[in-house]
Amino acid sequence: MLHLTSPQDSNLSFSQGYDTFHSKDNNTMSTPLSLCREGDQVIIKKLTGHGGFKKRLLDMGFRKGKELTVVRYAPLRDPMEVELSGNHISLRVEEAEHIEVSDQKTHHGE
Amino acid sequence: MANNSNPTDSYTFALTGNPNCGKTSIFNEITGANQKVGNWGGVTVDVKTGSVRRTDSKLYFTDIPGTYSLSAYTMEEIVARDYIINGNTDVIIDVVDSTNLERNLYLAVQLIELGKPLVLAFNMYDELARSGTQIDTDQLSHLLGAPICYTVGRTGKGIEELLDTSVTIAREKYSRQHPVNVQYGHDLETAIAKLSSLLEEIDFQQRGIHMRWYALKLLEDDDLITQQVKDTTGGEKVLEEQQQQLERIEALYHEDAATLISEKRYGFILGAMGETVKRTPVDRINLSEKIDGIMTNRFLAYPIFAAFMWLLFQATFSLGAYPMEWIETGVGWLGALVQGSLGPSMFRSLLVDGIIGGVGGVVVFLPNILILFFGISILEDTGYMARIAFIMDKLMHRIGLHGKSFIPLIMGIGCNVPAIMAARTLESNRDRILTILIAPLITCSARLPVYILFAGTFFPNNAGNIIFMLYFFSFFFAFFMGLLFKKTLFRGEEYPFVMELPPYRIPTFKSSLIHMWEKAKHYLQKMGGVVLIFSIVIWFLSNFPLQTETMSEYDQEIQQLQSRIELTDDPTTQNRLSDEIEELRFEKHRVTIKNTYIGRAGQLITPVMDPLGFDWRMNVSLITGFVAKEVVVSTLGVLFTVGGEDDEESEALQSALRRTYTPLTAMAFLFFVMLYTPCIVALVTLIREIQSWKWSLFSLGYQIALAWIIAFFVRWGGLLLGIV
Repeated sequence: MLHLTSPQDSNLSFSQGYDTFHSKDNNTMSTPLSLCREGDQVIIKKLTGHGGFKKRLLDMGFRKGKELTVVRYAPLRDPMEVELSGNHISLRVEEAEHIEVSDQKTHHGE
Repeated sequence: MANNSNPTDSYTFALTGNPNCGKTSIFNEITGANQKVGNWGGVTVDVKTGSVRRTDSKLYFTDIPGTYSLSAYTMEEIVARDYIINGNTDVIIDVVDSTNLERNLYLAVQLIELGKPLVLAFNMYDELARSGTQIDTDQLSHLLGAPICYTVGRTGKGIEELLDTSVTIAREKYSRQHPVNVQYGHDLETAIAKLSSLLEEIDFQQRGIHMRWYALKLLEDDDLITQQVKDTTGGEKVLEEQQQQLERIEALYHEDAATLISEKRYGFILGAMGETVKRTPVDRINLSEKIDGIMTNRFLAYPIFAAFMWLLFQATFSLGAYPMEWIETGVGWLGALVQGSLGPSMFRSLLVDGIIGGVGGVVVFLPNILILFFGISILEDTGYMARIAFIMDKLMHRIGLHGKSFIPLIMGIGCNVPAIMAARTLESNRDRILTILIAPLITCSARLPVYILFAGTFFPNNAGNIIFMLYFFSFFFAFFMGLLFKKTLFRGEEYPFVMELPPYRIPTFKSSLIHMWEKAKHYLQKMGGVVLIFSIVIWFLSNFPLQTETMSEYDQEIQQLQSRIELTDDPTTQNRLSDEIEELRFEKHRVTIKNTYIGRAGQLITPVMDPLGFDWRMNVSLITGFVAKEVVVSTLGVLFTVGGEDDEESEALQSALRRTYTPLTAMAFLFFVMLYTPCIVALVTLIREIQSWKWSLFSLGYQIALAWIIAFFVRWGGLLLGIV
């Protein structure tokens, strides 16, 4: 339920993580997709999953260097919906942990 | 078409493509309702076949499950790939969503690598044209090494040309096509070459497929192909090389070969598209996204979903109640007709009570199934089904299920039969089995008469609350068992949820109708025979051994009373006598049923049911309840020999029950009825859908065991708490 907290509550681990990667200006840093917020536009750095799950991601068009937008989270904050070259794909937050994305993100809309 | 061609030419085509590429509407457009659904390789994956006759040839089509690639991950994808590799097809037609070329061509590239004759159908061309995108078709076709046809599946535009091209390719076989290979770079190519030649050496299965493709699959670490190589003599040598190459590439690139191969394929696609596809930048916020802003909105998503579910439920069960009534009347009329035209005999009884009654019991669910599947096909074709999974997944995932499992479970409230069938919407076999296992626990409408009778009899002031509680508990047990099975039987078998949310589309009426017709045909074909046999068995058990003597004794007595009625003119005597006749009829019924096999079985299981406080009459009613749950009420009516009415409102039955059982026993009985196997039709449906005797027996066994255990706890918990 950590995703429900607002970034202002800095004593919670999620917000801390979020603030940390936002304050870094080292652009080689990457962060799991599961920590991104609605509207974030990020670039895929690496897929860390294994076996069938990773192949599934590759088949759906997830790959290094690809731009991705977090469209929304489901009403119960899981799963999440992302957009990838015009395709809308939903995946569970725990699965999104296996997608490393750039921390350089543009936040568009809310 | 050339005139010199043989008019008896026949060709087979396989239609493949990504999910949501419009493949099925093309298939429907080509074959019309002239389709057959079959299973491929004994799994519950529909493979549809259809044919079309043209002036000089007959064309056979197979619509194989949609797939994103030839990785073969879910059951559907394994079937799809198996069919593409092993199926006896002349040409593969890959339906490509032309508005989404990049990802759709990913499958196309892998098909090209297979080396089988291929035609690309660039579908949804109208949408592509509207977006202003231009394609240099000749050049792209040249780069991909396969002809490209433009189609609009929804309207049928371009389909004739697609068929012409496909037939031409089928006639000429490979001659038209030039081999195209994706270049994977020096390191991967070396590995491919080595593995190909080793595979060649051990004579690995060819089937018109390039060795290069198998080599690539080995580098992608494909489980099934690796297993097949292992099973081939000399395969160990190939697998050794595979391991070496995989390690070498991993060491060189710090990335597995599968990822590198995938990147190269996308590189090839983007390269080809860069040369040939001219896109005009489009506004990203399209209609679909606007709809989703509402449909999956934090606050509106659930009310909207509940409204749709309510509509589907009402349509299925309230609207469906009318045709059901007609069917029941029809079956009753047919039964009466046979009853009237044949003399009383065992054969008549078999025909009327066994066959007509049994088959009628199957046909009567047909309206439910038709309407439910019409609704489901609309949910699927519009794309809303994926959104249901999206908003429900968090809840369903808790019990190890997929978001889509919610629909079968909720439909179970009406009837478990269509609910079990609705589990087909689930892609992974594991999710499907788990859903089918717990769906029968949901209280269906046939159980309601039993609830009404017992709640009304024993808890007249709280009947509504008791019934609500029973519904609540039936969901509770379904979720609880789901969680338990997830933790025990299905541990660590989870499939990824990664799923496309396709753009919303308006479904075509034709495809929804075809979908509905398919399910109905399937249901009747599959269920009819088995239920017929079961009905005859049940009829036999509830009529044999024959008690001719007892029966004729009663008949004689009734006859005597009958003749006395005719002799007298006094209306009070007449009434008294006909009451006596009625009484005798019921006594006859009760005595005979007690001595039939079913009656004996009911008495035989008394020691087992004794701890629950059930007597033989309850037991017999539970056994007859296998036919249909509402039969429990009418059996109890017969066994308590209450005249005339034996429905759940009957005053006489209620007071008889009140005299015999304690409220606590009644409660235990209610829980037992709630949890044990719904009915024979549901059981047969379950066996057919789950396609495994092991799981079917498990389902039957666990439901009965669960019912017993819970009824036991209800009774003994109550006794310990001092409730009588």
